[in-house]
Amino acid sequence: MNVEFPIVTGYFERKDRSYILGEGSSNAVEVDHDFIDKIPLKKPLDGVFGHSSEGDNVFAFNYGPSTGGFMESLDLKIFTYGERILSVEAFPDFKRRDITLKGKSLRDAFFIIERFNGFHSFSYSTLFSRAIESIENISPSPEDTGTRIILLETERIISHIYKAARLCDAASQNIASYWLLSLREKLLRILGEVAGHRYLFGVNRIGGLNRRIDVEKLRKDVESVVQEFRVIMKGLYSARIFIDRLENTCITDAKNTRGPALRAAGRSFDYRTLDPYYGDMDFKPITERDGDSLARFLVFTAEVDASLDIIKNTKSVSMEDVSKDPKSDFPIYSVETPSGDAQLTLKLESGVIADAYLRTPSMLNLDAFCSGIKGNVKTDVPFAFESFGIWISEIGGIQ
Amino acid sequence: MRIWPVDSMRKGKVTTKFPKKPNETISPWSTLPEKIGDGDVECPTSAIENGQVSMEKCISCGACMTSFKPSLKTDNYRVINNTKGLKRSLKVFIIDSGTCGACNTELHAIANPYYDSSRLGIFLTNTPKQADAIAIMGVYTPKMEGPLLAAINAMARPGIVILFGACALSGGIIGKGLEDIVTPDLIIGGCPPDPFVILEALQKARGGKI
Ligand code: SF4
Ligand code: SF4
Repeated sequence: MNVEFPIVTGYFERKDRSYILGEGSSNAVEVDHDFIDKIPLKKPLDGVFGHSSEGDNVFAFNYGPSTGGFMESLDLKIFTYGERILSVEAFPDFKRRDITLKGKSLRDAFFIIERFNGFHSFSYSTLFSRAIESIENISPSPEDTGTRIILLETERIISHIYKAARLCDAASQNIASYWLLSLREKLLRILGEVAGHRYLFGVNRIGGLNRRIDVEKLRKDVESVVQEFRVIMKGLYSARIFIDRLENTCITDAKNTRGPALRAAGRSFDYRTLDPYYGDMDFKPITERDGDSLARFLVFTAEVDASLDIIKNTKSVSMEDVSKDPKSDFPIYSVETPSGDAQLTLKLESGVIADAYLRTPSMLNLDAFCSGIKGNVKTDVPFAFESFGIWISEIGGIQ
Repeated sequence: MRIWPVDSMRKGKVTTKFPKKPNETISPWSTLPEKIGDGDVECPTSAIENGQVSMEKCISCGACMTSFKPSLKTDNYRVINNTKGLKRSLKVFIIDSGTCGACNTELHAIANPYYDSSRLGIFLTNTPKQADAIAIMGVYTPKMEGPLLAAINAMARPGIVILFGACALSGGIIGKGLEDIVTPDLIIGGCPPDPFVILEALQKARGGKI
């Protein structure tokens, strides 16, 4: 069978059969094998990012794999004949961990997924738990579901604040950067206090939560941090030099990105609008049009306020979505992580993982960075990169 | 119009006085768990032996909470070799062999205004040639072996080689650790290590007072 999706966001092959994942779809669909070669995003899905360039005086400027400039190990080959970037090739596989889920017990697989991208650990542990809960017909309590939403949104706020801090640092806005780092630290300390771990390790479990969270305290403290965040944003939105650096830098279109980067390029897709967890909320994706670093910055900083609204309005959530979740050969389970939607397919056999495929937002966003940065200058690389919220840990390596 | 840099200064000073004064907070489960009961515990990394938790293996998961509780102590590290001559300034270069990202951001956190490691003469550096310490984090990955050994060789001497976090120390639950290819002067446990633990460990390893 051949199908048309608006955007094919992933693919995998099993026993001579080929399956694709579409944007927002709830089932992987079998396709003719030839179809796979025509997927526009096949290269990044295979772990190949960007292109080399040739020509008179063109040389490859190597950046990485281990420099203080990036948070994680990443090697970039920047093709240039001076200052302007002709193309970029990225090699995120230096730190590839080759994580095997197949054959693992649910508990061990859970701990591994929780440590897949530690920065977004709660998003991934929720994704995995929900997949298992759906397969095994387990319903977490309404209180635990509500708390999960609040923690997902808190993690999103922390991630967006950190992105803003890194972006400010790369664009030489040091006061703003340090202030934002302080806000992030405040939130991590709050999580340590109410949840027992700054990165929420050990809080989630299949079937609910392991710890009782003081949700009222969390709400109040997050709100006060977001109020302070608004003061910084007010300053940054009117800082001409800062805006100038971001405007028109690393322009991407909506075809190859996920998350805030996708919405910044004008596409109104946020998995939360389809997610039964967020079912009753009047939630609308935040979009911009220009697809540049400034648009991404405007989207993710506005999302901080949107997440606070969700945190303030979420109490307990009665989940009937377990029974509504798809049942097919390869159902897709999704979550909107702070960097964009992640999609997971999972099969169990006798209580262990028999098969898994995970497509993460950074797989596509790294490609979007590589194509968008063409034509910019080398000094644009750091803040263009930071505007995507790419995590190398979540690129490749899950089996 | 309000001038926001002034707003930021009006917030006052948030920096800790640690280690002169006690730490204000700690990430509970990143500290080493201690025994409080005799119930059966299934530790996913077999970190518990004879009631003691191995800092190399503990992944801070909390699965032992029925019989263990977080110690809340800042002692989740071990100095193997004391290094002299680094009291005035200590520049740390970070190598990510195969992390989840959290070890990276926790080590970077020591430079944020709450910890301000520069007041202790501790800085992060972008090149191993200027480094007095190399913090190696994450599990073993074949392609990072060369860059990490090259960085250790390039580091100025005297220098401190640090294995940082459960993944580097034992592989944790993710893969293989780095203990077979790196001989550390300092190990720091936790998944990820808490910034207060990191500060205390660095101070101790350079012979500073705690
Ligand atoms: S926290 Fe987890 S890894 Fe550490 S001792 Fe307890 S069960 Fe084992
Ligand atoms: S030790 Fe824990 S926090 Fe550090 S890289 Fe490994 S899984 Fe992540």
